[in-house]
Order: sequence, then C-alpha cells, then structure tokens
Amino acid sequence: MAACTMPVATTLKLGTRALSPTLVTSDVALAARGDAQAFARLYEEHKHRVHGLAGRMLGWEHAAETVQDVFVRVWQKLDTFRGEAQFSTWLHRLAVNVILSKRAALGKQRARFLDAEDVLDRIETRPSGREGMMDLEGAMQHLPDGARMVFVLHDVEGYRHEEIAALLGITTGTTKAQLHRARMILRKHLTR
Amino acid sequence: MTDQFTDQLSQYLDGDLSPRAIAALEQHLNGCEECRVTLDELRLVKERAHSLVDPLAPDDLWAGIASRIGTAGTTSDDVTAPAATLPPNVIQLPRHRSFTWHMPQLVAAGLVVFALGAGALFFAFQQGVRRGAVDQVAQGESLGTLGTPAASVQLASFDAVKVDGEIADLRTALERGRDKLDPRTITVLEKNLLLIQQATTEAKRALAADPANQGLENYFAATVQRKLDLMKRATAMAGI
Repeated sequence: MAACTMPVATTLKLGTRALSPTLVTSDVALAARGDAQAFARLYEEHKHRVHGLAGRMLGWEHAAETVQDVFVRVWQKLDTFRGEAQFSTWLHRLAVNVILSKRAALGKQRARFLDAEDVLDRIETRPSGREGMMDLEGAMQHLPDGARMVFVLHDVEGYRHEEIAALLGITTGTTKAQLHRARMILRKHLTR
Repeated sequence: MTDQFTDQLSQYLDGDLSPRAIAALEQHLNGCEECRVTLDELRLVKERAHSLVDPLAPDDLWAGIASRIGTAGTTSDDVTAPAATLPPNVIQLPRHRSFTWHMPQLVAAGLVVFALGAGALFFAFQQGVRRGAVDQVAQGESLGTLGTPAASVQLASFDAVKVDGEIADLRTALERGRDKLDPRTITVLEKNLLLIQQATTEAKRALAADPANQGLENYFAATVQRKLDLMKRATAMAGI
C-alpha cells in the first residue's frame, strides 16, 4: 500500500492519542503474528478515530458496523504492513478504502431504502426561529455525498487534494470545487 | 458578491491560489464587504471542522470483531493499554467493569444499539460535549458533573412501566394526528415507536437476567429515554 503523507492536523490528533511508539510497534508486530490481545489493544487505541471517520463519511447509522469491517480488514491485512509509514497512517488509509468501498455499495441502496432514523433526524435538526444554529456534525450529514467525502477528508482529516483525488478517482479541480461547495453550504447552516 | 471571486475564496483560504490571483482577490476584498463576510464564514467552517472531536465508538463492537476474526474468547476489556499511556484528551466514560458481558446480554445490547442507532451517545456529545468538556473530563471531572445530555447516561434508571406509558401516549397522539400528517411521516414515527418498543422488550429481558447490572440499566435508560424525547419533539413539531 502506498505511503500516505499524513497532514499536520491529523498527526497532531494522533500525537495526543498515541501510545508510545515502542508499545504500538510491539503490538503491531505481535498482532501480525496472530496475537489477538495485542490486536485488541490496537483496536482500543484507534476505534474512536475510525468510528468518527466512518460516521462522518457514511452517516452515523453505518458507523458501528463499519468500524467492525475496518478492523476485520486490518487483521486480514496486518501482515502486509511493512512499517514504511506509521501504523496509524496505514490503518487510516485502509479505513478510508474500506469506507469508500462501502460507500459505493450503500450508494446503490440509498435511493431505495430511505432510513427512518435519517428522516427523523431531519425533523429533529430542522432549524426553527428559536434554534437558528445547526451543529456542524449534523449539517455535514446533509451535504451532497461527493461534497461530504471531500470535506471530511480535507477539512476534518487533513488530506491534500491530490490524495483525495487519487482516492476518489476524480481530478483535483473537482475536489476543490466540491470542497468549496461543501463549505458554502455549511456556512449557511452555521450562520443561519 | 462577485461569483468569479467567491469561487476562489476557499482556495485562497487554503493557500492554493497563484500570487497574481491572490493580489487580484485581495484587491477585490478591499472593496467588497459581502465577500469579506463570506471569507470569514468559510474560515469559521474550516476551523470548526479542524477542531471536531471524534464521538466515542460504542463499547460493544469488539465482540463482533473477535467473532469474525476467530478470536471470540478475547475481550478488549482485558487488554486495555496501561493507564500511563492513555491519551490525555480522550473522553473516557466511567467504566463499570464489575460486571461481565455474557453473550445473551451482548445480543440484547446489540439489538438495542441497532434499534436505537449509535446516535444516542453521539447525539449527546453533539449537543455540547466539545473541547471544553473533553478537557474537563481529562482533568478528572466525571461526566455526571458536566450538565450535558451525556450526564444522563450516569444518572438515569430504567423504568419500563414509564417507557410503556410514554409509548402508549405517543401512539394515541399519532392516531389523533393521523389525518393531518403526511403518510411518510406517519410511517417514520410508527417505525420508531416499534423500534423503541422492541428495545424496551430486550432491555427488560437483559435486566431480568442480570438485575444488579447498574451499567446496563443506565445505558438502557439513557438510550430509550433519549429516543422517546426525540419522538416527542418530532410529534410536537408535526403539530400533533
């Protein structure tokens, strides 16, 4: 898997959360040899971040299941981790790939199965005169799919346009346009 | 507002414009208050996105992973990293590790999580547990002192009779408003009532199997009550 340049924002996030490099390296090595307890420690360390990524990209109703899918995939792929990037970087990139695959599958279903929860959430979060401010997390869920992907990867996760374009199979011109579109929509929510 | 320049504002924020484009845009900004305001708003969106805190992942996901990778006997509870290495700013809900999750409870809890969505805890944090609250927790305060919806996770107790009564009230309200509402809205509300009812049933079973399990009771109480409150607001907004 190609090494990903982890942006500053994400590195800082990880930096405040990371276990000592020795322990992580040790757990990665142990888990790669089939040590389930070491893998469980890696899961504990990274589950919240993967959950946040999945929820923001796919919708919170899919987050829990996606976390499980990601870590099963990590377990299956651990022996391919060569240590060329930080483990957290490698895991994050793998998580994005799992999420994008899932997104493609979900995209086919979404038109037919409108989730009841989602509709209820829309009722809940619709701004009224008294509640003019919409939370950013909630507003992000209502972005068009493409704009949400780019916004999450760029502004939340800190990926560069070139990386996002490669992940999504689109041009950087498109990612920049989608990012601007997302921000313009969100600013309306935040300033309403 | 001039579209030609508005479209460049995000790239300007990200430092992606050429020097010539920057000069032209900045000259425009000097004379266009609307574009300046838009730029400030876009900057606010970017800053907020950058500072988002990841909501907690549900506690019960490991069992499913362990099962799928063939290590079902492993519990993530037993392998939590040493305290000294725990990250300083991650919200740690007080853990009630005096009980053990047995498979029937896991199944029951899983159904509840599925039925109610992982959104209960997320919703709680969405409502106000942001950076300040995270710092407070990191400094040793319990969630129960934060005055946020998350506090109810610790303080509530599960009252099945009360929940049943509230479900019945909501059903009555639905019947009363059936003629006024869009059929799709009715369907959504009915589905959610059914989910709450199913979750309540599972909660009763799980608690009957382990009545002393305070953590389980608190969890059910918080999630079910949260959903009921959401339903009440939804029906109120719908005018029934």
